[in-house]
Amino acid sequence: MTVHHTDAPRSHQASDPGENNRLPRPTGKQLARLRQAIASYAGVGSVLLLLVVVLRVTQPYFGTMSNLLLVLETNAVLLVLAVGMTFVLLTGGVDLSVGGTVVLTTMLFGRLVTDAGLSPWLAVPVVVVLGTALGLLVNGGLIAGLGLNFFVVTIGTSYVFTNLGKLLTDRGNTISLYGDETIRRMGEASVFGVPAQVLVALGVFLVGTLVLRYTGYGRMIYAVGGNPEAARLAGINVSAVRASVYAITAAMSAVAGVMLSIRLSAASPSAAVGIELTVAAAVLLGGTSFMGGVGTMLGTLLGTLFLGVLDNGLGSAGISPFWEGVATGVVLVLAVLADLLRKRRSRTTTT
Amino acid sequence: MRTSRRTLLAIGLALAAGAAGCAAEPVSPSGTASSGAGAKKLIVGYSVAIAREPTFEAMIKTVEKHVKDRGGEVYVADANFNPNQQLSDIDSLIQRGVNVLLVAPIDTNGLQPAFQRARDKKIPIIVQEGKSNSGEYFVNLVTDNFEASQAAAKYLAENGGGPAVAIQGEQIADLLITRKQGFDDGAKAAGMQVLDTKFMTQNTDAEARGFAEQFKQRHGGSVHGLFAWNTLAAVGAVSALGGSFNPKVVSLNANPVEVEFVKGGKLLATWSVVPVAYAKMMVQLAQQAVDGQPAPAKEIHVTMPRIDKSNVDKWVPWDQQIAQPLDVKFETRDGKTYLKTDAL
Repeated sequence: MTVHHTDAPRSHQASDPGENNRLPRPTGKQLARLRQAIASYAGVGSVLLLLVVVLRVTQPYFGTMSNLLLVLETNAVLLVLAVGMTFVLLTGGVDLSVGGTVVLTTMLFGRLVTDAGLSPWLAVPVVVVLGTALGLLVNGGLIAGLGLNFFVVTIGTSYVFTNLGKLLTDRGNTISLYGDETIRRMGEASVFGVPAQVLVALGVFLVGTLVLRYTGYGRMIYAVGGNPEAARLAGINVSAVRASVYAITAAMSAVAGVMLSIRLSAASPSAAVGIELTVAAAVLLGGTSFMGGVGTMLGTLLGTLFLGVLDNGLGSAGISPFWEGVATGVVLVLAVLADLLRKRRSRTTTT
Repeated sequence: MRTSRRTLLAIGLALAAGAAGCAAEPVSPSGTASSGAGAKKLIVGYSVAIAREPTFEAMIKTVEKHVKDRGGEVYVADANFNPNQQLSDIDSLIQRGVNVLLVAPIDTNGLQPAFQRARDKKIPIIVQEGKSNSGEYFVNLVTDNFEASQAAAKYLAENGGGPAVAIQGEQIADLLITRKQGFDDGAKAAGMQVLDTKFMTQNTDAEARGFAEQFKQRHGGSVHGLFAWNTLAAVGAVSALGGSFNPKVVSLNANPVEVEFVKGGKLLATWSVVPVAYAKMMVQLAQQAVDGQPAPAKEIHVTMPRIDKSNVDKWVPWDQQIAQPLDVKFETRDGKTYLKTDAL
């Protein structure tokens, strides 16, 4: 069984005993890992860096702390969704129902707080648990349990979830939560000037990174995505792993739905319409393979930041948002192309 | 990255709003000369739900030109129909130091946190098509969509357009709901039968054409009138006319393509959202807000005039309207304050 890991190199485990007084020289394996990590992030990382430098020079407003925090806050929801989507893509699947799940959970949250009179503190876990169950039982059950195609299933459930969410609207309109003092305070909360939503997103990212990198479950995900048959022969319950990632992405969608409701102080049926493609783009830009088995959370973070900086920077520069779409598409295709060339070179070297 | 679904929905709402303005550029400063005598310099932040739509583009061009003529600056932010983005756009405009905000909201409910931050900084807000109970603004501008839809139904009935069918917008926002209610109310008042109603979810002319084809198959020659809730619905419906299916078609928005249809006899009439006159009014109100003068009223209504064969030749292309000087007047009717304009 081959587990493709493209994370940054782990801590050095060995050093040359004869070189105690000098810095330890990296071993060939470590250098290979470093090269692999650089290659993985070089695409989106270098473009992101270039973008930041150009914007910093040409747009004085871009580099202000308040604007950078705004970029992070605006894209906090995207990062949470992208973390969830990374799990699914690593298994070789995709969840196109994340936008629908966000719509459904945000409207459910609105209804629980307004109609049921539930405290927001209680409504949050209720919505997240329900969202997770939905992902596990519906998407996970149909895809992993019955073996249905993930594209078809998640497109179908996207319609179902989105329109169930719309049925929960107030005559088709958003549900205002602005009258709820607790929600207003949650939306305005910050720690040392950093909005709470940013901290939540970074927390989710951190947990996602730890799970993927340092747990047996994380290795199982890579294994299932890399070679499902080999994973099965190695004793991994492939169906359970596949079902679980749809539960994770649904849980992240529910968290995102709640975050959106709190940020807007409203439950809006249009707040996340069509966001699934943006989420998938963020993850793929970060180097996660559409075929599964390859990718990291750090890459997902870079992909999300790229989209966020691009959106903010081009907007500030007065450039058409259509160019933003063009740039995203070009970088995405280049990232896939670079991945392909890397694999070919690797195959040639092995041969 | 944007998605077509969101964009299409956005265009639909934008057209329905018929009142928001939009820029050709997402965030662009324009104009640097000093303010005119007696008036403070305008630094306008204009947050729009979606910029890439003809009506909104006309509004943004108008605002940019006339603010620039006064020596002011305009920053336009395009939310591309993402409420989360629009919230950030308004925060960003506030951080940039604008002294008045024009907002064409996707949904006023979801913008209240940002509006409150603007109020905290004493920045006046001029909101387009805000909900009447959605907060305190310098002024809320309200297009009479209900009345126009109602008038469209009555006009169809008076001109032999009944029984009728209707292509409406997806019922997920106030404006779209309002247009449907207005049409249904007008049809009922006129005693006109509505045989069938379809709701656009993709908001494309192709979708509207598909609905018109279905009307043709199901009802054929018994359909004498068709209501199209926006420009795309009108374009789709008109493209399906032919054979025994030849209903009289009315629409809302009066974008240039609809005006051409009226000239060519394909549309019986269309009701205009008067984007240029509306945007000029916003500039004047913005100046009043910055100068500390009160608005004529907390809610100003905009009537949608009918364009039909009798007056279509008086329609002036938007670019020419934009070039004309700012001359904004108000009038009071039935206890409400209205924009007084002869523009079509």
